Amino acid sequence: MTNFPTTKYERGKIFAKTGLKVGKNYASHFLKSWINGESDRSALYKKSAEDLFGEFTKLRGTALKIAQSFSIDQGFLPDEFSEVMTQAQYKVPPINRSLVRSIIRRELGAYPEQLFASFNPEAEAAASIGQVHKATLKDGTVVAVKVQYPGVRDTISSDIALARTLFRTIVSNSEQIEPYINEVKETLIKETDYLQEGESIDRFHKRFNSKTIFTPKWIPELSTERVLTMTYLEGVHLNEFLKNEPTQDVRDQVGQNLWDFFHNQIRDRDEIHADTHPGNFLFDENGNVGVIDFGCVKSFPEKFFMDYLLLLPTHLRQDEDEIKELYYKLEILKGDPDELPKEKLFFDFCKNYGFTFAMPYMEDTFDFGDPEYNKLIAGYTKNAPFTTEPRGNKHFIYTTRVHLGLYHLLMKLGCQVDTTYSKTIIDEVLTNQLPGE
Amino acid sequence: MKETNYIFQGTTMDKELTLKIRISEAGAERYVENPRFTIQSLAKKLKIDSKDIFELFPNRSEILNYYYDSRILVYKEQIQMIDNYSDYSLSEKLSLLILTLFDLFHEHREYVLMTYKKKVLCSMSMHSFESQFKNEIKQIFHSDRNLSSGSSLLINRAFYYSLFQTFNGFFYFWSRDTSNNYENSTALIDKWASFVQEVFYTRIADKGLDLGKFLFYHSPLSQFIKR
Repeated sequence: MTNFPTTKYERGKIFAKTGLKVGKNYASHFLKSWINGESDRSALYKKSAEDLFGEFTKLRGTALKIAQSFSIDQGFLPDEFSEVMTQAQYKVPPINRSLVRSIIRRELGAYPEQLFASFNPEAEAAASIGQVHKATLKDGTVVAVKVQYPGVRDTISSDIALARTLFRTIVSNSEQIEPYINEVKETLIKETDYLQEGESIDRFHKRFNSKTIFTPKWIPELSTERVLTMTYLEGVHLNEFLKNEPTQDVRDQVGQNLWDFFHNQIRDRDEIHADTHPGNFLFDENGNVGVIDFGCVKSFPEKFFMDYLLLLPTHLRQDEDEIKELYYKLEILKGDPDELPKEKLFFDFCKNYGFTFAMPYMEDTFDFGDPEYNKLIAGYTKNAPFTTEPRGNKHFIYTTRVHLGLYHLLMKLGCQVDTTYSKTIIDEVLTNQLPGE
Repeated sequence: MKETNYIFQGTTMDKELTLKIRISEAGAERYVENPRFTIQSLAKKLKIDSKDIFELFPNRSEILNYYYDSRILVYKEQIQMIDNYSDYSLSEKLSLLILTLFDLFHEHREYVLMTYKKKVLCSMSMHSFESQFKNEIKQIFHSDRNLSSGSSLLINRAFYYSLFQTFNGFFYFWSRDTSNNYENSTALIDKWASFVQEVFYTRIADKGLDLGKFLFYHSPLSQFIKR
């Protein structure tokens, strides 16, 4: 059991300690290779990632969210880092059982043993800002009770302030980073309001709960801003699902359900579940998909969202002028690539990456298990042109998280999906939106 | 009258004890309304005969004092309802005791803020709340099998006294805590309990004693004493 560091000093110390640990690993690695002439870079990455993860999990909250985004962006980091960082999606030290009991008492007015027919004091899952306990209501309904770590809301501001300081030293034009930081901060603060999440659960349940996609049902009478009760979903996380060696048909079915769920959200042009990482999905042996954690749902401005969707057909058409125009609109390009070499580098990279990204929409079926495609995507993220200035509209933070997160899930599943229906949806959304254009 | 039924829900307390607690809680509420309340007005509030109150309490002051004693009783009842309480670690047990007391204090926060110092801290003789609190602490430490042998040297009357003073420090912090649902007090108690656990579970003292013993038995001083 660990306690949760809440003060700016404690959290700053952990950030600094992490830096020192990783620095020490690199120093000892270089010393070893200098003395012995050996170089085990893989061991170095693994050790550094473990240190990084070990410290970040103590911070939970914002810092862990950063760790989670690293794990989504597999390919950008060395494989050893991604592997360890993926743990951030499932394993966080749980909080003291007495504390859980007391928080529930303060939030819901009575202790868990009085409120529920049964309550498991051991956390089922511990995530970035809260942990989940399995319980049974007096009417027999099995529920998941999410309890927020005390003081997590306060840590958001201090972590963001630390991140801002860190970014200011890296980014050349530090004012440009502000909209991105503010976007992340606003989203994180929203995520700490469990009543808002409960309302999102309600809306998603009405929109998507079906045979193939199952979502929890919110129980508002046992929910507050810091405690959230919802029906419990059975199923296993991706790693466990894959360990059971499902057949290709089942993998394809899961992939198809995920793909269709994503595109149905686009069709509705409503809210989007914006936290597409493996920890937020459950799978059963029939290929059905459970969606959990509705803390990060986003509605994007219409204009941005349509331009973002337009990237897909535009990249497939490979019309450079059209692509350029769209890049300007989406703030990806800051100058003329024909005149500025830096912009040219950026343009070429984005154009090729965009085309690769749009490839699943070319044919009627697409094989995400194709190792060549996996390598291609990983290659782009690894070889992205290094820039010290932010690029792209601030909403890219979440659209990329959703879209790229989906691709990574599908690639990990190694599934083949039918894209006919999704192409129709994108066509319809774009044509309905742009009648005059 | 404010409902505090959660306290009694599912407990095994006998009727008399339950009534005593109800009277003391109602007394605490009456005190906030009027510090000079009468037993008759209290009986009226509880819809019982004042004779029933006098059978259990000799006077008004005893009712108000009993409020504090009964918090420990309620806490004891509650831990009986927790599955696997005996598996709880030292930090969990300590934080459970303190957090439960503050949860209970919160039910009558105004009364507690008005009277804790006068009735418990500045009492002429030791208030039974203090002795019961120390007994609970003693129980927690004595029943913990993970304590290092060396740390047992620290556990004595002075230690229990210091823990009660620490509780008073927490009380001071809680009384001024403006964070949502006393989150800061919760965090403070959690950190403190984790620290205490680290101190009492660590084997450093055991290893140090072991080393000291070895050095002593092989030192000239030991040879001299043997002779």
